[in-house]
Amino acid sequence: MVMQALPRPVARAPVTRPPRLGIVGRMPTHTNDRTAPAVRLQGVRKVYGTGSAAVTALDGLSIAFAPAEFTAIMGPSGSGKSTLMLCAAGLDEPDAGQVKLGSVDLAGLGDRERARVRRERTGFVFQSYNLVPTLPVWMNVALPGLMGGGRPDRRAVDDVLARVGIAGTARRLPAQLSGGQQQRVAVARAVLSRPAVLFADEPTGALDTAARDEVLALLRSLAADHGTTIVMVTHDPVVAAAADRVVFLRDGRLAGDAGARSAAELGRELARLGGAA
Amino acid sequence: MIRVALYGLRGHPAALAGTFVSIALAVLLVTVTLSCAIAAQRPELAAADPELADLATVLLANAAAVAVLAAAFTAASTLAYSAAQRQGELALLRLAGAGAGRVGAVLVLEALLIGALAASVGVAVGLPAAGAFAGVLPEAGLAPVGLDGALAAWPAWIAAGVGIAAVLLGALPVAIGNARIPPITALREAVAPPLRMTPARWVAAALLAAGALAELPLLRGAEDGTIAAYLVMLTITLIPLFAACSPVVARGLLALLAAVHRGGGAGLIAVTAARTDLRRFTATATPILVTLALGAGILSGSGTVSATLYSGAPADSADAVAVFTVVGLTLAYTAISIAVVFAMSTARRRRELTALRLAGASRARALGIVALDVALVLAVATVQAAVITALVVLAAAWSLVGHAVVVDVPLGTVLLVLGCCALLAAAAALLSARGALADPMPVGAAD
Ligand SMILES: Nc1ncnc2c1ncn2[C@@H]1O[C@H](COP(=O)(O)OP(=O)(O)O)[C@@H](O)[C@H]1O
Ligand SMILES: [Mg+2]
Repeated sequence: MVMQALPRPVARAPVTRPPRLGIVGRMPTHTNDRTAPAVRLQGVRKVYGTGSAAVTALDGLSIAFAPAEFTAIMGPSGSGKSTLMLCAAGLDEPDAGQVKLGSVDLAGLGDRERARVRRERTGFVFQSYNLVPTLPVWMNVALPGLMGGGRPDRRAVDDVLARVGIAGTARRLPAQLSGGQQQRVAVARAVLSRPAVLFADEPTGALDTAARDEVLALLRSLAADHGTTIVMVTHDPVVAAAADRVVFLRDGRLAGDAGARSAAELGRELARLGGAA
Repeated sequence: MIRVALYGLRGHPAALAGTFVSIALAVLLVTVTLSCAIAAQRPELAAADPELADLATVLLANAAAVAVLAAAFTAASTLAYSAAQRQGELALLRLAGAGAGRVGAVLVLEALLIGALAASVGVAVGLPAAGAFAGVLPEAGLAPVGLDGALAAWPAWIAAGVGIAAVLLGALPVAIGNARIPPITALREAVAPPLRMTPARWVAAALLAAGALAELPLLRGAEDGTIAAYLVMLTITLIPLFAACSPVVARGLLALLAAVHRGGGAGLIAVTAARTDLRRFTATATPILVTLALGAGILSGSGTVSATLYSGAPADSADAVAVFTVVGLTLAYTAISIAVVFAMSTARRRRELTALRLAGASRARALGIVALDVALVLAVATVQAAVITALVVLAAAWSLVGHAVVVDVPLGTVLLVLGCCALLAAAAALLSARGALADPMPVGAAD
């Protein structure tokens, strides 16, 4: 696997924000308590549809992710992996149970506060929908800060772009980049805003092996250098083998949870659970 | 080939809704006005009160002409926008071996199918509506009594023909502009090429500018009573001139706004997105430009003429009614186009809005960015309409040489029209954006 030079921490604050007010602003953004989980789901239940069409996507799931932990989530298609990410990130609301990001209970927050938690504490690298197609790369990278009302710092953005290996693309539109480059833009955003938790849903799904290994190396370095908690859904045993911990889901329930394992072991486990993700 | 065109229509119902609605409404309006205008000229009616018959005919024919023009503009901009959104699909046709001619033919055929469908709906609704309208007009003193008895059905066929002609007029430049799309476009993620001043646009702009200049001697030589009519003609020449130049005008105005806006936040995001997606921007700006410029241009032109020649009192109160009816009908007509175009183009911003939410925008913030975009569209259309109005008033002053010119711009009415446009556009865009944001994030392998 190609491991490239790990990005160094960002030297200066990328965006100057106005003083924060409100519920979230009064809380510490990064908890110093290394033992409290960065993300905690307790008895989370999510049902889509009603009546005979109801699908239970998450069935009372409880799971926690420690700070700086890099977890891979695997499981058959439809097992609830994406729903887990949406609920953990506060993008969708569970029908029952509790979701906590650090010390913040998402259930108590309105849409505005959730959005603030999202841009200040979380980052996303998804297979698609990461980037706003009508904004140039540099603005996409600076987006969480921009949304907070700050002014963009172009030099900090250029630094980060160079660090993830796509220097010189700042003024391009996302559609003018390859799939691997687009994923790096999403990673660059996470490097710049240094979220406490990064959610990645099949971030390497559309990439060739070289691009896959590079994106994976970038994710690992985020966890190692910045203490970012990474929760990554993948169907690729090779990708999952790079994680500290691998969790299996089936039918919206936990079907396995263990430390790092080899790709071959993971492949066999996945087959036993019923096919590819 | 028909099958390919039908497939295109089925795949993009929302994209082509704007074209459909504008043509159907135009055909409906032309059916109503044209049948009444022709009925008023029937000998048995015209003989009783020739002046009233003439008034009715002029008024109705004007309304019909304006509706057709507005329909052609709206159809052209919505067709251009939807073709730009479908670069990948058109390139696939080329990749599958279709020549440029065939791609162009598919686009024209598609437009014709929409036009035919829209025209049928327009006629089907228009015929009974004409009967009702012909019953009401004489009561308002705007047409001879007995108008409804004199109605014929054949003007409806003319209306249908005019509607289809308008859609063709809109489709031809789009077909010519997109026929030569490189097949390789299909293999990359489809990016609509940026909106630019094409040679076709320059030619159209030059011809329209020449036409506007040619109207000036006519204006100068016109008799007092016909100046207002020539000013209407000038207004409807200037509108397509500005629409043809919209790539440079909108780009320039947005660049200016971006330069003035020093902060970050939602303003920067909205302006940048508008500059990147200039096609969407101008497609939504066109019906507002048409509405504002028609309203302000025609009312200011005739207002200035009346104020100068008759010290404010119009020569003939029927004239004022006529102008107001034309403008009123047009505004009612374009209002629907505005709503449809904003709803349609905002629904297409789903991906954009979803990505914004992912990066930490609350629903309210995402909607705020959409609202800012509406404000930008209104600002750019208003500036263009103001320039058109100023030119019309200048031309009015020029034609009234020898008189002490009194400029009369009905600011209150114009602001009312602007307010209506703003309300409609904002309501359509925000409701549509709310719909686009309703679902939880579509993520994972499914997309
Ligand atoms: N928006 C939705 N509406 C209805 N059903 C959904 C929706 N999202 C997911 N589901 C269903 O919930 C289940 C879990 O989906 P998902 O979390 O996407 O699974 P995975 O990511 O593991 O493939 C599936 O059966 C899926 O069909
Ligand atoms: Mg999924």
